[in-house]
Amino acid sequence: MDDLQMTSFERDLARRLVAYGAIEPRPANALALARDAMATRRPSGIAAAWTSLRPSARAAIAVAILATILVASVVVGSRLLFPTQIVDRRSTEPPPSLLVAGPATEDLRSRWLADVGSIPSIGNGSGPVTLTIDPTGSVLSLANLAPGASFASRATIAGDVLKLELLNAGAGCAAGANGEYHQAQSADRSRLTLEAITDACPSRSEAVSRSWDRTLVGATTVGAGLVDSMEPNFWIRLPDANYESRTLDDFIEITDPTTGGGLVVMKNPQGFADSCNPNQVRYPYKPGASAFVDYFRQNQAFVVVSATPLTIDGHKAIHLVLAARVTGAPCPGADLYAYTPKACECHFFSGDDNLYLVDVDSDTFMFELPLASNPATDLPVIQSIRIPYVPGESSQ
Amino acid sequence: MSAAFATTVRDLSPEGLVRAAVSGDELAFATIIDRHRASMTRVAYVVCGDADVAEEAVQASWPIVWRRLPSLREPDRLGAWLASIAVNEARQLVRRRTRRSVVEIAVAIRDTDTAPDPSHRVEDLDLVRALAGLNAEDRALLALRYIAGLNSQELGRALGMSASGLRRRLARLLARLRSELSDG
Repeated sequence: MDDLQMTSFERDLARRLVAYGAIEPRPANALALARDAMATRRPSGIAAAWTSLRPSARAAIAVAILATILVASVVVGSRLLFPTQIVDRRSTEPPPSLLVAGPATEDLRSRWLADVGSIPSIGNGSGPVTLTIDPTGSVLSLANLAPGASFASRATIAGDVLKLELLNAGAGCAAGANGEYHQAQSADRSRLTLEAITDACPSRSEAVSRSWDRTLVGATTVGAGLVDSMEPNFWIRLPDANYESRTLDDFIEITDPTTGGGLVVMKNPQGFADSCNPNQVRYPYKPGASAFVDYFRQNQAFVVVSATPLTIDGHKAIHLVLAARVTGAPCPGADLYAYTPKACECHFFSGDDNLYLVDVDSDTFMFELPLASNPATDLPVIQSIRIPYVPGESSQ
Repeated sequence: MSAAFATTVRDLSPEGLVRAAVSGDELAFATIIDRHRASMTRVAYVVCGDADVAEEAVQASWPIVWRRLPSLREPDRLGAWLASIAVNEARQLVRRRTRRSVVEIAVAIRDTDTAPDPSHRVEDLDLVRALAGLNAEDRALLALRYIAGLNSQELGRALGMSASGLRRRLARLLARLRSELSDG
């Protein structure tokens, strides 16, 4: 297993790290943890097989399926293939009197962000605070508010009433303190407003009662929200799906593992001097979207199919379409080292690409919609971007 | 707790547990949790330096483990795979916190409820100081390599890096630590 030979210094370092990390977690009920985890949804067998495929294979299959549907639609007629479906979500909900309290609904299970300002009774500092409703929908907690003020609470919902029961004493409140809140979401479900009906924990009420912006960092079933893991924050509206996210330095990938769809964003992308060389010597970084296009123009492994100027949220931008050079490609393998965020010790393979480069002050952001290749479908998503985005501002 | 599970889960090998858990056997999944929760918490702790955050990271890992378990191709490397998930959750938690405030690596010995016998843990202050100067990505690399024992391929997958990039980064990191750590 050990393909990295250890020196004596490393062996000593390993010993010291093991000693440093030798903590014992608090006792926990493994069976309860298992049941909670298993209550979350898992992709079906087909979906699981799909997620196990390489992204390039998934993209190829997706293109093949889309092509098949396109041909079929011409032959059979689009009306037969795509009948209009109007689903009234509200009509399926029982009247409030019949609602039974249960875990928070899936569209609430997310990270939410708000700038709460100063709350004298809590004595918090400044800066955005996150409200998280965990993937099981049964625990609500705040982070980055103040020490001892996470207000971790058992959460249940009945209709539009969110009920909270404080799990631990703190911030002037006793464990078990109950509260009830009206919850309402904006039409695109990117904003949650909680309004206290009653709460035996006044400081929790002060902290929680406000509007919260959905973040797309973490798990979410809704595609409209802000990304707060990059500076500056930005807001985008993706199609709704079961998203998970992965973050690296100046990088985020928001993916629906069942389809491969989602969003990839990197800040200040930098190329490689030789896209075939696994040693990954970096191409000299020059700021700006145009300079990144120039990098691809000189790169023998790629063809710049088009570089179209456009404006995104008032910023100069370029829609860049790339094709991997099919004939005479210099790489013996199929992998092309294409780019990486300047600040990240990582790399990303590429082939045909459909990229949106946006200059925001002195930084360049690269947005990619992995499954999209049609401006008619991806432009509305790209044009929904608001960057920079301050929590609480209008996303329209 | 492990003994209780053993009476109901027939195949306690990693492969058997994974197979049973994937098929929906909650006792098998609970056995996996029971076996690996402590080691995952330890690697997460090296990343974040906070026992509560480490436990939070591991807690957040289980739904991810459950969803991704069917894609685990080498059940005999279950521990390494779980460690990489816990470390990534810890990195995300640290990243969210460090954006707005500096997270200090804990120097003081923690409460007795998290470290039952603190007398056994003598703080390695040189190491603590050195870790405090590293970002979460570097601490993740150290935790996965030197505590969880991931090989270069597993490290690359966990951290989104190529094997060669990984070796270069590790070499730079070790050079830095050599200059910062006393013989300890």
